[in-house]
Amino acid sequence: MIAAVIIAAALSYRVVPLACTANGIAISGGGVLRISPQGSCSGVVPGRAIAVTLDDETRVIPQKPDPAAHPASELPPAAFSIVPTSLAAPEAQEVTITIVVTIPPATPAGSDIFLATERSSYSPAEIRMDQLDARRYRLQLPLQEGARLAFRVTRGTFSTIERDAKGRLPPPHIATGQAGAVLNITVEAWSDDT
Amino acid sequence: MRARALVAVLALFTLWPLAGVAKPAAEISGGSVLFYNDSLSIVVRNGVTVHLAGGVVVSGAAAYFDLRADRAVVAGNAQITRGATTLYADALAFDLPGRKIDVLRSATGIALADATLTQLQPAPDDGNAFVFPELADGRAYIRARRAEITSRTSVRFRPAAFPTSAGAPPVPMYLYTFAAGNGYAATALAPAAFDQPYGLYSSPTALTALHLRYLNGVGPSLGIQQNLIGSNDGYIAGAFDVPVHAAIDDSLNGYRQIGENGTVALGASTDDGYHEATLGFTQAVGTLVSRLNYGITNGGYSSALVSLRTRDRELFSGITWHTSVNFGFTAQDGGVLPLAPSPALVQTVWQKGLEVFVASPLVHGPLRTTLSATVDGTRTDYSYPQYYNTLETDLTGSRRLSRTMTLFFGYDARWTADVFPNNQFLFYPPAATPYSYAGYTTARLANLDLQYVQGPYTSVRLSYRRADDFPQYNFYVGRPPNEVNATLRVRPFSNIGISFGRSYDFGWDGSRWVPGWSLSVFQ
Repeated sequence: MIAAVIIAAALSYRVVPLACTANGIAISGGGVLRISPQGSCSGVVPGRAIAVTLDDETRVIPQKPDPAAHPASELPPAAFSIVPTSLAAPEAQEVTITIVVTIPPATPAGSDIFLATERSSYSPAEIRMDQLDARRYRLQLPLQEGARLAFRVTRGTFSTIERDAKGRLPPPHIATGQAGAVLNITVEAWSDDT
Repeated sequence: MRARALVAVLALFTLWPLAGVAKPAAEISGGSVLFYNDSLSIVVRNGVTVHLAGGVVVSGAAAYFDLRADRAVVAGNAQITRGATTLYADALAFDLPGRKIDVLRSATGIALADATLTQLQPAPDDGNAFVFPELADGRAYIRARRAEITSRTSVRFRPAAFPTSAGAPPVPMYLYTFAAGNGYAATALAPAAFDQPYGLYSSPTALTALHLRYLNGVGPSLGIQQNLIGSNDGYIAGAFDVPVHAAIDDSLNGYRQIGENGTVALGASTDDGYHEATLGFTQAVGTLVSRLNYGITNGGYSSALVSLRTRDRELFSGITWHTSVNFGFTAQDGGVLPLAPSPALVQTVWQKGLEVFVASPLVHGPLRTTLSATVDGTRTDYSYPQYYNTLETDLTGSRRLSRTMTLFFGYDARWTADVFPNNQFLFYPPAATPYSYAGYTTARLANLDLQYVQGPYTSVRLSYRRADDFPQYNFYVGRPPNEVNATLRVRPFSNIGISFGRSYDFGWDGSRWVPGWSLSVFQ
C-alpha cells in the first residue's frame, strides 16, 4: 500500500480543468479532484490542460503541462471528492483508419475516385483515393480518436456522385476515428449512369 | 430568348437569400474563438458569453462547443441567466439552444436545472456532458472573435482569420457549412479548374454562396449559387457564373426523391446563346431500375429515352451481368440527318436499344497480379433505317509492388458499326482524305501505369498509353498513338490541394512529340 502511494506520488496526470476553487478542481468529465494544501489555483486556466501530481494523501497538486503525464483515467479514485462517471480522453490521439471503396464493374475504365468530406463542405474532388485494383480504391486517413467524419464518394464532380441501388442519393457515410478501423463501402451506382 | 429568360427568372428566384432569415441557435463572443474543422468543434478562451435562441445568456472563462452533437460546456465562474434568474456554477453543460442544462459545482457535484433555473435535481451520471477536450490553439482552422451557430448546419465567424491556411487572407465574415444534407453539396456551376466557395447565408434549408472560380479556357469567374434543401431527399441549386470577360452562364438543377423508390431531376442552363432544359425520372421496380430522360434545346433539338436496367446479378462463379433495354426518339427541326436525301422529311427518328454487360470477378493471376475483365455489347436500331452496334472488352490488371507503389496494366478494345442499310455511301462517302472511313471503327488501347502514394494527400501517377485506332489521324480522329503522362497531386497547405499533370503525345503528324499540361487547384 505504501509502495503504491509512493509510486502514485511520483506520477503526473494530464487533466483539463473546468474550474479551480477551494473545494477542488472540477475537470473534464464532471469529476472534482481534492486539492492539496501544497497546491494552488494560480496558473489553472479553465479549458487548458495541466498536469497534476499527488501528495501523500492522494490530493492533487497542479503543475505545468507534462507531455509524459498519464491520462486522467489512471487517477486513483481517492484523488476525487466527486468521482466522475466518465473520464473520456481529454486529448484525442491521432489514429489512422482505412476506407476501402468497391466501385460498380461498369464504372468507366481509368476513373479516379474521390472522397468528398464535410471538412470541405463536400468539395467533390477533395481527397483522391489510392487505387488498389480495377474495382477497389483505398484511403488511409488520419483522424482524431473518436472523431466522426461524414463523407461521400465521387468520380470528381457532383454530377458523378454515388447513388444507391435504386438510383437515389444516399446519405453520407460516417467514418469514426478508431485505430486500425477498416470501413468497407460498396458504391452501387453513379449519378451519370444511363 | 424565351428559354434564356425562363432560366434567368428561375435562377433569380432561387438566388433569393432565403437562408438569411434563419436565427442562430447560439451567438458566441469571446476573447478568442477557435474553430477546429477536423472535429467540428469550437473552443473559446479568455472569457465567453453565449446568447441562446431562447433568451438565455451563459458566460464563463472558457467554452467548448461540439457542433456535431449540438452541445456546449462553459467553464470557470460560469453563470446562466434567464430573465431575472441567474444560476452560478463552476461549469455548465447544455444542449443548443439550452433545453437541458447541467450544473457542476465542486462542492455538490452535478445537478440538472429545470427550465426556470430555480430547481436543481442531482444528476451524478451526467458527467459525459462536461467533456472538454484539449485542443491545441495552433491547430485551429479559424480564429475569430464572434460566432453564430445554426444547429447542424453552419457557423458564421466574424471576423475570420485562417492561421493554418497558407495565403488565406482574413475576412470580415466567413460562413462554414457542415450540414450533411445532399442538397448542400449540390452545384449548378460547371466544373472549374479552381472553385473556392464563400458562404454568405445559410439555414437548415438554404445556402447562398459566392464562388471564386477559374475556368480553363475562359479565365477568372465569379459564381453565385443558391441551394434550397428539403432534408435529405430534395434540393434545387441555381447559379450565375459570371466570367470576367465572357457571357454570363446561368443554370439550375434540382432533385427530389419520390417515395421510397423514385427520383426526379430537372436541369436548365444557358451558355452563350445555347439554352438547354432536361428532365429525368428514375423508378426502381423490384430488381429493375427504370429511367426516363427528356431534353430540349433552343436549337430545335429534343430527345427522350426510356430505359429499363437490371441490377448487377451474379451469373456464375462470381461473374456478374446486367442488361438494359431502351426506347425513345431524337428530333431536330430541319432534320436529324443532314446528309439524308430529304433531311426535312426525317425530323424525328425513333430508336430502340439493347445492352448486355458482363464482368468477371477479381481473380489472382500469375506473378501476384490481380485481374478483371468486362465485356459490353450494345445494339440500337433507328427508324430511319439505321443501326449502331458496339462491342467493348476491357482487361485490367494490377500488382502491388510495395506499400506505396502499385503497377497497373490494361487492354481495352472497342468496335463500332454505324450502318445505314443500302445507304452507307450516302452517310460515309468515299473521300480522298486519309481519315475517311465507311462507318466501322476500331479503338484499341494498352496502358501501363505506375502509382506512388504517400499518405492521403500525395500521389504521383506515371502512365504510358499505346492507342491503335481506326481511323486514327493527326488530331482529327482517334487518339495519339503514344502518350506519356505524369500527374502529381499534393496538398501543400491544409486548405489547398494541387494537381499538376504533364503529358507528351508522340507520333502525330510526324511530330516527335506534342507537349501538354494540366493544373487544377482544389479545396
